[in-house]
Amino acid sequence: MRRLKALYILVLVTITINIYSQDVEWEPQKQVTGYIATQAEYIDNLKYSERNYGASVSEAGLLVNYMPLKGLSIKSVFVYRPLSTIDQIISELSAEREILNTNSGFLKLKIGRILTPLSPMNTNFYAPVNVGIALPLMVAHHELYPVNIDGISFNGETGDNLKFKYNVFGGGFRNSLLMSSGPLKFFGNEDSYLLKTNGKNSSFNLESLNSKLSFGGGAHLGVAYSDMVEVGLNYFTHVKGEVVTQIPKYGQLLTDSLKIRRDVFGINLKLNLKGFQLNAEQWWCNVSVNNRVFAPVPSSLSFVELKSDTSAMSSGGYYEIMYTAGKFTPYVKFESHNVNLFDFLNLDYNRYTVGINFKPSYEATIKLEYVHYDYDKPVDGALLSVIYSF
Amino acid sequence: MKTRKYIIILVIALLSTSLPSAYGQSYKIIVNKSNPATSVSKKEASDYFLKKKAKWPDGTAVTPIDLSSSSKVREEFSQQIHGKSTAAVRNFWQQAAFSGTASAPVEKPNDNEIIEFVKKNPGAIGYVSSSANTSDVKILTIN
Repeated sequence: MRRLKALYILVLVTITINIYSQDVEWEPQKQVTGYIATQAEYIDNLKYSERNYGASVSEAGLLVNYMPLKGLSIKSVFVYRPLSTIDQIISELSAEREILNTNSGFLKLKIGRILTPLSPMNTNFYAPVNVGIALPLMVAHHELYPVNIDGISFNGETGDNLKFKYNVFGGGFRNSLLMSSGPLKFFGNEDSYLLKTNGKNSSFNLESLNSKLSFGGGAHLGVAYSDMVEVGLNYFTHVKGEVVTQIPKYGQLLTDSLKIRRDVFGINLKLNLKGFQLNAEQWWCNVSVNNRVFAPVPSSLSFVELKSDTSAMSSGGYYEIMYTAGKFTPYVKFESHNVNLFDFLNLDYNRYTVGINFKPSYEATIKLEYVHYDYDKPVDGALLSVIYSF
Repeated sequence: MKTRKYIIILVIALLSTSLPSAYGQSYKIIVNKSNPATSVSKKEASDYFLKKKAKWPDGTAVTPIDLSSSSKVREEFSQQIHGKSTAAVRNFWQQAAFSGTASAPVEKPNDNEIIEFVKKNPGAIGYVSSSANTSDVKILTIN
């Protein structure tokens, strides 16, 4: 609640500053758009669940963009997902002001709650924008960077056909891990499910990362030529993370706290040529321990002592190819997911997706998708999504 | 005899509906009178209206303005300039809004309001039906 208050104050301060700096006539502009997505899914041979099929409203979003003054825009995006809290529903709430020169776009200041401006996928995951149905693993799990951040961003671009883009940002966040989605709540929770099918359980309370206030920041540098090619370099550092571990001691479970730092590097590439589009991202994350702690190895009685100099490397990749032919966009995706948290949480799997996106009108979108998890015990699923946009 | 009459009436009706496109497009691209530009290619026009090009050659910021999405003139403009339907253009703007890359241009319900807006804004670019009175603005020829 205190965090929300601070957010509103930040937005109001920016608006006030800008009202006094206004020097030209401007007709206020407003854009309202939104969607309701209903999703049906079937997961073959799903364990630990009453049923392996279901349907629900998977996402409903509302975007209001208001530009009261030239060079100033206030953006709010509210996204409902089943069981989400008010804090999670406020996906974005920010004010952005062009500074120095209101026509150049070279330097913009943005404050409030913003989508972490690193990975292009992280700004393209809302249901009508994402070509597929299942959230990308790196967005749903976001063990690399948070989905959004409450803070400040300096960003801009320069150039005409050849554009240089940058974004430097920092702030606080709580949403560090796991964003389950879909009627069966399987997507976003794959890690614990796959570990369980392998006879292991994580000794981490991964949800605990979502309840601790963390701090971080990063930067994105990009170069784009026309609409055809864009490449980017990304860095994010999560300086104060905390995960609760459960330690069986004296016949009971004791909790301890693992303080971590994450340093994340990523590269991204986008190609767009005659209806073909390729989106590719590859990420590496170094997790280091900031305190000394004992943690149990899953499904064993042994312990691991983590010292403050212990570190481990995880990685993730997202590769997507699509071809738009009129109202149809068939697509294939490959995602790699390699989580390595020392000796007690190791998970390495790939997800393959094939699907088709059909858009008969602006209002209607129908998507059909097949997913395959390549793991010791593979998982297959079929998804159908119908989206109404307005 | 009656059938022949009906056929002739039908042919005349069909011809009259296709007259505007037979003699040229049903829209005109307009800019402010102070804008030194005299012509624009379809690609350039598309880039201006989709905010892919932010400035005119003289450095003035481009301010595009659209007719409302139900307009028939907008549908023809979208098909000929962007090579896609108005629905596809709206999809483009929805994606741009959610991903934070850009916001859709202002929409006006009729030619008069478009002309009024272009008249007031030096960097504005809009389009109106070919029958609109455009004496207060400048028409760009399309290459």
